[in-house]
Amino acid sequence: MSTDILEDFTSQDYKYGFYTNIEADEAPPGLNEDIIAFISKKKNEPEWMLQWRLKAFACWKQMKEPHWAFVDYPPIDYNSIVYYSAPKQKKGPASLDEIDPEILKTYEKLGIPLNEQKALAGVAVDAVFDSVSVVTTFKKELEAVGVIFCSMSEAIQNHPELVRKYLGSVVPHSDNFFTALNSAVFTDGSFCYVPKGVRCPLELSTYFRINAAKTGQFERTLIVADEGSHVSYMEGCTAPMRDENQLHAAVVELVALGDAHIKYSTIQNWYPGDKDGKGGIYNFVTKRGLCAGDNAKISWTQVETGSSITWKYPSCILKGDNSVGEFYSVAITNNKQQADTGTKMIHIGKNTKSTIVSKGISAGRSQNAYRGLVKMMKSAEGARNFSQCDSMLMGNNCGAHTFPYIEVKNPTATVEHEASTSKIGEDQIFYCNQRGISTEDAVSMIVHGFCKEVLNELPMEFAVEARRLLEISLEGSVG
Amino acid sequence: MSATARKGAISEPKGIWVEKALAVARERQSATLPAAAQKLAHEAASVWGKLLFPTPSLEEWKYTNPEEIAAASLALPPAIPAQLSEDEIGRFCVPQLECSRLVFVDGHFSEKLSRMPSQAGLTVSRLQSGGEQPFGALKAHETEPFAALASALLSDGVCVSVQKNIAVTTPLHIIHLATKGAESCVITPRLFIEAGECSQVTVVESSVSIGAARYLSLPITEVRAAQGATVDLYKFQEESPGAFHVSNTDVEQSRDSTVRTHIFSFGGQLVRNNVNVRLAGSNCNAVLNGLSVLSSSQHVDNATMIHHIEPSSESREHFKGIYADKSRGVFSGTITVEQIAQKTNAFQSNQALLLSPNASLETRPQLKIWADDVKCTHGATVGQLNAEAMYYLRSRGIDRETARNFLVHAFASEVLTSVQLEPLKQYVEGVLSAKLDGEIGAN
Repeated sequence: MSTDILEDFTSQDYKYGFYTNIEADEAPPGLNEDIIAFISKKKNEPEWMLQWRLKAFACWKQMKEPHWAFVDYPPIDYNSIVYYSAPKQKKGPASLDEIDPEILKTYEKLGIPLNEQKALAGVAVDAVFDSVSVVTTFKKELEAVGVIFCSMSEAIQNHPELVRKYLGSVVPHSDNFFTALNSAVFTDGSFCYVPKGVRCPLELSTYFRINAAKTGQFERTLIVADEGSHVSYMEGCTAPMRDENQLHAAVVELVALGDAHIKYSTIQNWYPGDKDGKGGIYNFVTKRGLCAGDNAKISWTQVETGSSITWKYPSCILKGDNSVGEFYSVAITNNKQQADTGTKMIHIGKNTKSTIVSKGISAGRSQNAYRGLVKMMKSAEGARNFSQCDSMLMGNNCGAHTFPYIEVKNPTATVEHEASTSKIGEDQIFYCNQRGISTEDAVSMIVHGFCKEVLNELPMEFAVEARRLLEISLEGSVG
Repeated sequence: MSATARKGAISEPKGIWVEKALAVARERQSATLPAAAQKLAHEAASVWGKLLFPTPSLEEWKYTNPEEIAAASLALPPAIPAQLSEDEIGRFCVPQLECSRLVFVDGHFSEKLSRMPSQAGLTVSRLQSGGEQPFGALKAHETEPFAALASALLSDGVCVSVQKNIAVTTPLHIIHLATKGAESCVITPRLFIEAGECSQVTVVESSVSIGAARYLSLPITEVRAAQGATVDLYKFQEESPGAFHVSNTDVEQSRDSTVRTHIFSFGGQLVRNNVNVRLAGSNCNAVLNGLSVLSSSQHVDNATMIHHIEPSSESREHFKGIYADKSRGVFSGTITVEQIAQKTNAFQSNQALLLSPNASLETRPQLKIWADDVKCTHGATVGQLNAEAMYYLRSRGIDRETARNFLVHAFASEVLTSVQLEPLKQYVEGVLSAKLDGEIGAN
């Protein structure tokens, strides 16, 4: 089999790597109480929020950066990062017309339907540029059914009671090193509240963009689905190409009350660095969902193609009886990317059920690891888990690793874990070639087939993008 | 590892007994051991000084806390061993198994109870008898804290050496027995199997107790299989319910060799089995099977590593556990496939049966793979007895306990069928039945 095709297939350039030259309002680099006060003041936050941040910062100072993940990177200097960078504007935008046309152009380049004209796409978007939310579309339509969908800073101003109640309830600020950092300096993010019994009429979506140099992006997303409600949320990310590494340490919290259903889909396409592993985003993210009530369901779907280092474990705490957690993931690493990703399913309630399907594809000189925990607590009577982790290796300079942890404290619980590692068979390629399918198409077909179970879980709008992304990420990877 | 180990080590005064035991050991070693063995003990002692007792803050010891061992206040066994009769040792022999026999009582070799093999090409020598000996060649004592401790406390050992093209006709049974004299003591059984080119040998190693309630057993077994050799190693452990047992088994295989290792854990309070298999040649075949049957508050941790270093080898690993009462099972299995180890087939499975609401299990089946043309799978399941199967048997007039025993035996049989020695298989099944009828009966 020709390695050239593999090479071509894996070597396409990052097409979102442009930089938009707009004036930005920045904090000086560094991290101390003053910077946190500066951020809080900039955002006109109430006193309790500032105190919350300072508490998290005090906690962070006591913590050590963890190094148990199967990744390798030079030490991060937390004092050289710009913790606040916002596009300069006189006042908050009331409508799309008032937004800097440069920013709109950026989003257009990214193919995000920010314009109301593109309303047919039927997606409500909250766009976060560097550290602040730029615009949220379809607000009125959502308000009509009572859904609150806005930026986190707006939510702190307008819905402080909800924010105070749920912020940090799933991921406490002291959870780990990066959550503490995020809690101290987070600048914006998305907030969504779906009231009782409401089925959100639109797919909600957030697009994150890191633009300015030497900035870190620390966004915070909080989604609360009240009893019997239903919401589907999508998230996408890009960043310009830069030589230095940029840190992205986000926190996402989901709360599903009784009978509620949250579906969270991510397409993560941060800049992965160049072929030699120079530059790229460090994506150190904490995502966790709590099925607080009975029969709640949280479903994570992720397609991870970007970032030079990914370090992320979207988790579900299945507290309510009969609640369901799902995790579907495709992680693709190429060149010198490193990914250590997976999930945690904590079963607390009776008859809780979780499904994990993880597909890892490594190409080039990359390392791709699945790390997951399935924990059946003593109270998890009749709980069930099924996990499947498949890895595919393209070329012989990459690595695929699996680190599942299974802890069972209740004998009525059933846990099944399966993992396999394989490569694209020469016989498979031969079969396709014989039938007139080029090697490149054959690889693409086999990869899609390998990931199908996960891609099928994505909402329509994302599925198309994900498929395209898969092809781009792996161009030239046939071994 | 040593750097992290130091960070997580327990500081004094816990484990202060080790210092005293080491001093006594040094004195005895200078009188009884050949110079090479003394050197090994000396090196291991300095490694131990750096590692000390591991704590759960270390990833390798996340689920097993040896704090109790550190706090136990143990000493070396008396210099003069207890005298046992032939009848007393008889109950630890495998019925109908024709074998030669080596018996160690409280760590001391008993010539009276042993029946040494006599076959041309097979040499069984003791560490104390001197000569050139390979002990420590597989270097477990350089990284593993308990292997370092065991090597530092070294007292005696057996080296089974088989020459080229020799098939050893009768299996060798090595019995390590702890009597009353070993109460609150630490014993360090040691075995080295050197299988020459295209040779074949079967060794059964039993760790058992009679009279001793609480003691620490630190066996180290090293197996070096040369090109084309076949080694069958059965490790059988049925010690007193208060015993601590931390074993290290290291296997190094050259090309075309086959090593089948079986680990049976029935007894002990806190048991940890470290197994390290290095497939350092192409076309190797490794089988690593285990069965743990636990009750009361027993804790067994099987930590296995299979390292594929060269191409075209195959490894099959199968660990099963049956857990009753408040027992706790841990399994950590790592398979590493190096970049040049193409065409590797590695299979690993871990299955657990929880018989009681208070039993628990932690399992970590891990794969680290750097080669692309490989077939590697692992699977882990945890569950209780199948209710439908139970109902099927009950509806045919079989009482609950018998039905349960049927199903448990069926569960265990997958590991037992790979035991090549029929009498040993029967024996282990008998131990399983006795345990089901006795301690596990009430569940």
